[in-house]
Amino acid sequence: MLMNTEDKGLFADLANPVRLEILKILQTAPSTQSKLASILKMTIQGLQRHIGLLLKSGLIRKDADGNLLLSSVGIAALEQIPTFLFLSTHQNYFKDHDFSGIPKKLVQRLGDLYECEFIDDTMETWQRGKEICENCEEYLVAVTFMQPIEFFDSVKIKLEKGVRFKLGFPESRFVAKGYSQKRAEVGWNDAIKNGQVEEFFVKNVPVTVLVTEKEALLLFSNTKTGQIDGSSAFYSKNKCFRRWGLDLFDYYYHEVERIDTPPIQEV
Amino acid sequence: MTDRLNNNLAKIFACLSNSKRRQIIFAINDTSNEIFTYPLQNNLIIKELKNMEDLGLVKQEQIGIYRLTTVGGAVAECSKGFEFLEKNKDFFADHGFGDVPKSLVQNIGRLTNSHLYYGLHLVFPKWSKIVSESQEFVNCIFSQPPILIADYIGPKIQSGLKIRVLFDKSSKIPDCNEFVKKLGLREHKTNENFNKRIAENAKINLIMSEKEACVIFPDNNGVVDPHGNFISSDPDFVSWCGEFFEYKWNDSEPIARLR
Repeated sequence: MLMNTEDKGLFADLANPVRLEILKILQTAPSTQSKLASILKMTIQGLQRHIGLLLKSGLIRKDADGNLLLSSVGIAALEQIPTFLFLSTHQNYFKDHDFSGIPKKLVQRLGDLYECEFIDDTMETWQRGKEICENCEEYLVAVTFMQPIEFFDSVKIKLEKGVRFKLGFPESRFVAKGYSQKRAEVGWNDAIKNGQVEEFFVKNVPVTVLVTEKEALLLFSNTKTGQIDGSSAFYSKNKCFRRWGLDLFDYYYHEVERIDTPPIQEV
Repeated sequence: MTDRLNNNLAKIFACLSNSKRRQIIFAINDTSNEIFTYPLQNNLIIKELKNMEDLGLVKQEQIGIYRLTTVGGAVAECSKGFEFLEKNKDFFADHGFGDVPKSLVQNIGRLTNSHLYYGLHLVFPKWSKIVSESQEFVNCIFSQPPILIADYIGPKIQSGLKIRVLFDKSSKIPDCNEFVKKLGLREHKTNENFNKRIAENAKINLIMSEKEACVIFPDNNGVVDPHGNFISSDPDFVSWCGEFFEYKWNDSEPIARLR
């Protein structure tokens, strides 16, 4: 996109791959113009125009020794960039998926999801969800529209080992035939009574998130069907990704109005 | 960052660098149904919308009616952080974000609807107002004892309002102790609603009630600069301050009294 003379400000200063790269390098450590020129394979003269612009915009500054480093504005600006990278990387996916059910403060932090694996297969998504349940050793928290019977395959042993569960569901939770019997068999109902398992209900859950002490899985809504899309998911063991998932869970746990536990309706 | 991503990012920033395009994106984002209509004869707007459509930020629903895409909506939200930085670039040339955690730096867009007041004579009445108009709670973080507003906090403590005050470990309690007496800082805890804690460091100062908040950032040497205050009653701003306060509070030690 062409810029014109009216374009100015931080966005204009950042709208250049070389300047973005300079900021990225300075994020790791202060540097000199000659070092930067060598890393970027540019002449000092070629680099100077970009450095001058970044200094003028206040994104970088010079220390007493003349080293270039990020300013407070530069540090904060770089914290915003992973969100744009995440959106840019998954732009095709988000043509027909949306951020329903995600509070704005977490939309502003989508960059935390940048280091992730995109799973684009229904069976693999399903399998990954199952593995997350099998791998957890301390806790599993989730907000999800469904609770498959297969989930209980690994639950009995997890409950015996002291794993704690907190699960949030929508009013119209999807459960298959045999669900009630299976959850009674594995001791799920008893674990609710003794506080090892906590279930809560909210009116609507347009997103699914599973988080354990090791990993997290995230499914968004499909704008065409209006439902959570189980055919693809974002998965990661990354600390920021997990933190984002936990914050989304906390939002549903603490901030969304709860409803009474609806009766189980097996389909 | 790969070259492709870097180029994509540069294109999005180039799009947002134009104030007209930003205005259009914010205008659509601010409407409840996220739809933007425009006069069909306005060629300038048509051109900008076409540019944004090519980038996948907006989508034409019908002729003359545009909607933000999922990515466009998220870009609008995330641009607020840049708006805040742009607006306060001069202030942050010699101030920093201190001990604000990464997640709340990512959320600085929530501070956009605030006003920067500079000068103790301007901010002191604001601090007093926040405290005196509080009806549910007052939460504060102080790197130095709040001598100027002790007169306002004291009666609130007496009235039983829920008050939490977090001090920096290096806070120095002055000897002229009218202030210490007013807040009962040297006394053992007698009031269930008045809680004091001490943090390893408190590089940012904060005074907030359920309605309004004031946040004070440090200068580039890490020293709190009480002259420059961001103050607002905007719910996003107040909730940002609330989350920062809880973050610091949960990472601090209770104290019965200051020594």
